[in-house]
Amino acid sequence: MSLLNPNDEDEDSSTFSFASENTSYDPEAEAYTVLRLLNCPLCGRLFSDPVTYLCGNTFCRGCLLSHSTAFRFQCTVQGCGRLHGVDERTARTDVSVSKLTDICRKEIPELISRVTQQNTRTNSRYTQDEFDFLERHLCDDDANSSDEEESQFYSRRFDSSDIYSENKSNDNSNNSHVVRTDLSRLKDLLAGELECQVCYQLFIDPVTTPCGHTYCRPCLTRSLDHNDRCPLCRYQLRSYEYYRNNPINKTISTFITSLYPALYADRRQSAESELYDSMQDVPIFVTSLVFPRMPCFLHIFEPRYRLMIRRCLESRQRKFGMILQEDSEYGTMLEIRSSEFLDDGRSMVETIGTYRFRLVERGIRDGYIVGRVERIDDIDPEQELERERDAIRVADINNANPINPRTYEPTISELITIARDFIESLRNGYAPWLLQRLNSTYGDMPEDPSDFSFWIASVIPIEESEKYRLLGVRSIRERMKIIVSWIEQLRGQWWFSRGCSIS
Amino acid sequence: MSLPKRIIKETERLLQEPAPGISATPHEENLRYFDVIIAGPSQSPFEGGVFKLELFLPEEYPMTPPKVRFLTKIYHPNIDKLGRICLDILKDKWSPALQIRTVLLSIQALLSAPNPEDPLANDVAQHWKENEKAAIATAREWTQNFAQG
Repeated sequence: MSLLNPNDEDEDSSTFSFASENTSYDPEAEAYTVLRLLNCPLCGRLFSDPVTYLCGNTFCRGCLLSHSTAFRFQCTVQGCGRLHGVDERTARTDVSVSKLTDICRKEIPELISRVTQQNTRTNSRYTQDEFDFLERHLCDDDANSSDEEESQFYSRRFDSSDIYSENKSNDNSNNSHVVRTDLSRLKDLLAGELECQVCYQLFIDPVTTPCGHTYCRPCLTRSLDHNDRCPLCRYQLRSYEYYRNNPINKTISTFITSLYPALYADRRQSAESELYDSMQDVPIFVTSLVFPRMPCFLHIFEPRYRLMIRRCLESRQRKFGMILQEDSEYGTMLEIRSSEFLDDGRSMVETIGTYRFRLVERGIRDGYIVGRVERIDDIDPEQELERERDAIRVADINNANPINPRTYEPTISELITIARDFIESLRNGYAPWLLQRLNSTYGDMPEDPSDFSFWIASVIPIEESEKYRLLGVRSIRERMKIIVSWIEQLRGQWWFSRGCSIS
Repeated sequence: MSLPKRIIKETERLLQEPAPGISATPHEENLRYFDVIIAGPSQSPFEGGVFKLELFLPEEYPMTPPKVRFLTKIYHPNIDKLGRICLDILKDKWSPALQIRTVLLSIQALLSAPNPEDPLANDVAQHWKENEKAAIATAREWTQNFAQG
């Protein structure tokens, strides 16, 4: 694909084009919609010095101050609780909404005055019912319960058909051509202000900071992974966790979905496919060695892994690969069991090992490794038994000749017994502290031979780089042989055989 | 990995509306790597010079700053022998709202206003502070000798 002609793909259109929207539109109706969408719900006029509060609602600064007694702007958003709107010092102008209204004032002043007159006639201000509704829902973070109600509320507010039909019957239609030309330009100009300054795309889930700047929620949260300041003005922002959940800017969001439905649908789809693509390759975390069925607790603080974990959780795959070192060939797939986000964006993630894999292809995505993996399973039990029998037979043949040095091939159950005995001896006094730690982390000794091999490997104090050898071994017996060789080494070490003494 | 939309758009805009005195062209085989040319700003010791730089957008761009380096030898208190640039927005003052264009404009501005108080090349900065006239003369000389395209 040529860089300069990205239009080979529809979704790649580099500028927001009015023409790409539905062509069977009625320009006048849309012009009114533009203005209705930018009306202050309190005064019914085009926003003047608009302020968007943390609850996602926008008002003229002046209107809000004069209504602040009618509205209890106590925000119930977690950790907030301030009386928004009463404290004008903390409120900065919503830059995006302000630019949208500036464009309208410049481009279609005559329509604005007409709509303003109309509004005064039809009384587009809130009715008492609507006031009550707002008072109940405005700053209510418990959005789930009122989502539908709220969207109905907004669509009712922003439905321009009534005012438009009234206009149409009054107006003569000779100026509709003028409206058409102006409107096309107007919509392109407006769209220019609906581009996120981080991703250079149409806003998706727009959130507005207290400093008045709007970003796509995913862009802002990702930026907060790296820096706690506003990308545009470096204003110190609230905690990460807050922006992960706070309400979107309802004015901008409704503006986009009402006026640019096709662009919005494209943008939504591309965001979804981006997430999907990002999970086509397995995300890989580099830090430790984890065996199947063994738990692993992670403290996520690096920006790249914050993003990775967020993607895992959002995509609902809830899985990622874990490798010990950047160049490790083998690793283990971890499943996220629970996650808890700290206020500053770090998180604690509880995972458990599922299957082992070989990393056959690797790349980098947004700073972390991704790859294609090949699952590694144990050979089947019959094959395992057969191998065991073969090995013992070979040893017997060897031992039949007295010239040969004697070899011994233990069975899986013999190897397991050696390992269990070792654990018993630890339990009986040599190092009870060790056992205590293990039981709380790795759980009780499992019965299944394969699980047992990984349990004991997790438990015994051997270098991780040495334990790493086990990941690629498909035979339980081979793994147990390696483990028993470690046990023999440990038994040979003085502090294990004599017990540790502090003099 | 595919190139993020932001990088594609930024590149298009750079090529369509280049900033005065600055050009940035991506490599065909690696669209994250740019050949940059900055013309020495007028009324600076670098006037008349053509300075080549390389710019690379790391994997985490725009969350992390681009890596930029002078390829042309330059006598400047904030640029060292290896071409590395001491500029806050390329380090801790980076923000994802900045872009290739703003970075290159900042570097151009740095050529107009050397800052010996925050030096990278200590000897040059010393020279600048002790005898600004002589330092500027050296900078002119270097521009004549090394920055002629």
